Amino acid sequence: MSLPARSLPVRILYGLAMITMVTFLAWEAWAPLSDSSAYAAGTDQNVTEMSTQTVTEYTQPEVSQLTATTTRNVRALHILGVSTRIYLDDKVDWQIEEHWRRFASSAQASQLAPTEPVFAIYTDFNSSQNSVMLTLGPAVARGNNTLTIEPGNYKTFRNSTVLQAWESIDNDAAAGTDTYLFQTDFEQWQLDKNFQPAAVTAFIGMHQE
Amino acid sequence: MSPTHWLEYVEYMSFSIYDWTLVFAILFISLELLNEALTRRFNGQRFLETLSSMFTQVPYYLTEGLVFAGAVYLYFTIYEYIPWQIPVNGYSAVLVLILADLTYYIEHYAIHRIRLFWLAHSVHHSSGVYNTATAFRFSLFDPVVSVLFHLPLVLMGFNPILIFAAEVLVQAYQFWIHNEMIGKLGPLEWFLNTPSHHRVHHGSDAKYIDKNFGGILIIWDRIFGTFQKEEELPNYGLTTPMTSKNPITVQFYEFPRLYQDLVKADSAAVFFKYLIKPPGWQPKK
Repeated sequence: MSLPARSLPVRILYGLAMITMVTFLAWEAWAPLSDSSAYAAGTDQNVTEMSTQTVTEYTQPEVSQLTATTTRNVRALHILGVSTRIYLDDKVDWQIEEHWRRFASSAQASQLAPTEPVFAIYTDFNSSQNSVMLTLGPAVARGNNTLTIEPGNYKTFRNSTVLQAWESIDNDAAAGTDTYLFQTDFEQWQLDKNFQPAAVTAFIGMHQE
Repeated sequence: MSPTHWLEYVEYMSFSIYDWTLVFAILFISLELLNEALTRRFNGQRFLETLSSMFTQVPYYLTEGLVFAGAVYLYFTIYEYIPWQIPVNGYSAVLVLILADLTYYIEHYAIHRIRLFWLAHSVHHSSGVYNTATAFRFSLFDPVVSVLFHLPLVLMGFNPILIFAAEVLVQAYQFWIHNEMIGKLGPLEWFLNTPSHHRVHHGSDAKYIDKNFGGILIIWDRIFGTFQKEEELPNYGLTTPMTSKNPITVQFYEFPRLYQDLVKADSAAVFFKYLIKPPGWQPKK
């Protein structure tokens, strides 16, 4: 049995193209598996979009885990992120989860490096509406659109969100709320290499002593 | 890796492979046309036939998009109610790929042997020219049939994303076996579907008709007795040649032929048999 006439140079080119395709596709299939951390971190744009979706798994720490620890001096941090107003009287967890989902599909999320902390900053508390502005994003160099975390002393609450820390402060009658600024309180979320929340610490701004 | 990451991986990997395969397929078609020019086989009719095959992707993609969206909804709706969902991991991903290849064999057999389905699949076989462009040649109804035949995999408890990914990989495999540039490939011929095996499948010669239905693996044909090795170069196309390049004629060539048979049916049983019996079936006189 013989095939129709084939030009030798074209046969060689065809064979090389076929080998290149097989090799390339094998690499394309294998590369993400051989470096699962790079895959999860999203070295490829498409993978990045999928992986960053997992950031949305915002989980409220157990109140029993709350640990007020030390006071820390925080330098000014500039955050480039996405903001929304959270209304504290209405399904707060759901609103925050929704905002994490928005953040996950944002340009900032797609550029996150593995283990790079994400900050959640609570600003512009409105007592009449009982609402607060929440901004999610990484720390960057200062720019026109960045939000600045005011430098100063912050009381840290490990395994706590800002809202839980505020609740804890409200319940601690002895300490009183005058100690705190309620200006740019924030959470520092540490993500693991798969962009899953690994740890969170709440920072509550304090008046200078 | 977690189940979520496995799903992300197989989805990304399968569609990426499919996309890149299309890119390489364009390269293969270019080289095949260059070969025809250098060997003086090139002519206007063959070139138009190649373009005609590639153009069938336009209506095919339109229906594929709609049907795929419906299939995603249907499969996930059913999957939610399956109590015996199979865990998502590397083993289940490989298993579903093998089963999807078997499903492809069964579907392929059915669409050749059931006239109603052959209406759609005959488009893929109607070209007298056999090159990589033939791998693009599909009926706009093909996606519907595929959704039905892969439904059992959902009922078995496989995650729909694994099933879609496996379907995409089996489909991507088809692009390298539609050509007359590659001869026989030694030991690979034993277990893989190769260009040689698939040329047989496209043959209209009596001994080649309804042979070699496999997708990736040819072992299904060897097991179920539908294997035929390539002994001489086949004559491609339908047993009643279809030479039109008109996109409408290409898509609907078999429809009036079935209609002619149906209107002459003298009973409901014969009418029904025209639909489900193999192409060419006629009632006994």
